[in-house]
Amino acid sequence: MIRSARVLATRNHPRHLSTKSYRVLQMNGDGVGAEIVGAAERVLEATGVNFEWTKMEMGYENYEKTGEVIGEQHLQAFEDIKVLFKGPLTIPPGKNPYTELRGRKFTSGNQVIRKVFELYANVRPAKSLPGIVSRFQNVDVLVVRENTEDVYTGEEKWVDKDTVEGTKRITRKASTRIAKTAFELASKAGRKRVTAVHKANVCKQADGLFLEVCGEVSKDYPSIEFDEQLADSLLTKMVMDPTEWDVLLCPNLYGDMVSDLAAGLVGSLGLCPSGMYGEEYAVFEPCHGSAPDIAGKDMANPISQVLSGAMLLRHLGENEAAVRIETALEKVAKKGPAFLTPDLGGSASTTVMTDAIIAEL
Amino acid sequence: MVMDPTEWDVLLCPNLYGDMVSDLAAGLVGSLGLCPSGMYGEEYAVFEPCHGSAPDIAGKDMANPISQVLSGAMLLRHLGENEAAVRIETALEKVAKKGPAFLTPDLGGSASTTVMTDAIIAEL
Repeated sequence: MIRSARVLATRNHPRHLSTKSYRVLQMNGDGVGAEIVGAAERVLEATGVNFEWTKMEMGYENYEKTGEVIGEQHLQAFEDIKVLFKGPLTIPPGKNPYTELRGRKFTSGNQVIRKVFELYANVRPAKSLPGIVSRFQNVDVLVVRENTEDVYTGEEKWVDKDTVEGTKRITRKASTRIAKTAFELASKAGRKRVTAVHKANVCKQADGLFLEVCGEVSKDYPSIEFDEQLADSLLTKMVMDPTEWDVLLCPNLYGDMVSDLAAGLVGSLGLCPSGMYGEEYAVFEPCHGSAPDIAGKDMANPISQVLSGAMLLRHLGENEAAVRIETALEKVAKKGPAFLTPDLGGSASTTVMTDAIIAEL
Repeated sequence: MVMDPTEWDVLLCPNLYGDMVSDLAAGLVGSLGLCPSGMYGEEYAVFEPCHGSAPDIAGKDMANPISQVLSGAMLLRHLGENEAAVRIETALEKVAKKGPAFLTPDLGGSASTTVMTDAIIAEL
C-alpha cells in the first residue's frame, strides 16, 4: 500500500532554503530498519532540504504480513520516483521466498531492485570517524564496484559429476560505464586519484580488457590521476597503509572483497553507507544487515543510514547539506561514549545519538 | 580479519580467495618480509619467501632474512624435524624482542642481514 506524504522541512534551521523539493521513495526494510531510516529521515529533514517522501514497505516482515517481499507496485513507484532510500532487509537463508516479477525469478528483494533497474555501480565510501576506536586511522577511500558481471554471472554448469565450470564475463560496455561512474564521482567529490584494481597478470584477457577500458576513460579526466594495482597486493597495502588509497575502481569480485575490507578498516559495518546507481536510478542504504536481535530497542547505530542519506543528498546535488551532515557526525563522534551507541562502545540510544547529530547541524 | 585477526586459525581457500586472503594475512602481520611459503604437490615440495627479489638492495647485506628462515622452518616440518623448526621459530621470536639493534632496516632497525642471522643462531 502506498502512503504518500508531502513533508516540508521544518523552518527552524537558520539557513536560507531553496524551494526545490525532492521526491524520494522510502522503505524501512526489516529489523532495525524502521528505527534507523526514521533517524536518518529526521537528520535529512533537519538540514533544511525539502523532501517529498513516498513510503512503502518491503522485506521479510512485509512478506509475513502481505505474502510478498516486494511487488509490482514497488517497481512502478521506483520507476516513477527514481531515487530510493531504504533500510536493510532480513534475508533468512532457506526461508526467504523467491520473488517472481516481470517474468523473472529473484532470490531477494534487493536482487529484484538491482537487476530490474540494472544498478550497475555499487559505491561504498569508507571513512574513519574520529573518536571511534579502530586499529586503523585516517581511512578515506571510495570503492566503486561494478555490480553486474565478472565471476558473479551466476552462469555455472556441471561438466561432469566432479567438475563445475563458471563464467567470468568482462564487457567493454560494463567496464566503460563503471569507469565513468568512478571518474564522475571522483570529480564531483574533489577526489584526486582513481586506481583500477585488477589481476591482468593472470586474467590477461578479461582483466586486461577492464584495465584497458579504465585507461581510456581516464583520458577524459586529465585532472584526476589514474593508476592501477594488482588486487591481491592491494589488500596487503591497504592494511599496511590505508591512507595511501583514494578511489578504488574495481570489477565485481575484487570490489566485493575490497569494499568489505575497507569497512573493516574503518572499524565497523555500522559506519558504512552505500549507493547503487543505474542509468537513471539510485538506491541508498547501509552496508550492514537488519540486526533483528536489537530491533525495537532504540539501540541501533544510525550512522550508516545517516551517511547513506548524505550520499542521497550528493546524488540530488545538495552537496553542502551532505557536508553539514558529515561534519555534524564527526563532532558527535568526538563527544565520546555518552553520544555513541553500544556497538561503538557507548551508552547512547539511537534517539540520543540522532538528536545530538541534529543539534550539531 | 581486520577487525579481529585472532579469531582465525586455518583458512582453507580455493585459488582466488586464497590469493586475496594470504596477501591480506601478510599485511596484517606487518610485512611481506615476515612471510614464508610452502608449495606442495603429490611428491614434491618447494619452500620460499612470499616477497620478491628486491634488486635495489641486492648485495648490500641489508635484506631481511626472516621469511627465508621461516621457509626453512617449514622445510624442517615437511621433513619431520618439528623440534628443530620450533627452535628456529623460538630463536627468531627472541631476536625480534631484542630491539632495533638486531632488526634489519625494513623493520625499523639498524642490523645487517649478517648481524641478524648471527643473533638468531646465537639463540638456537
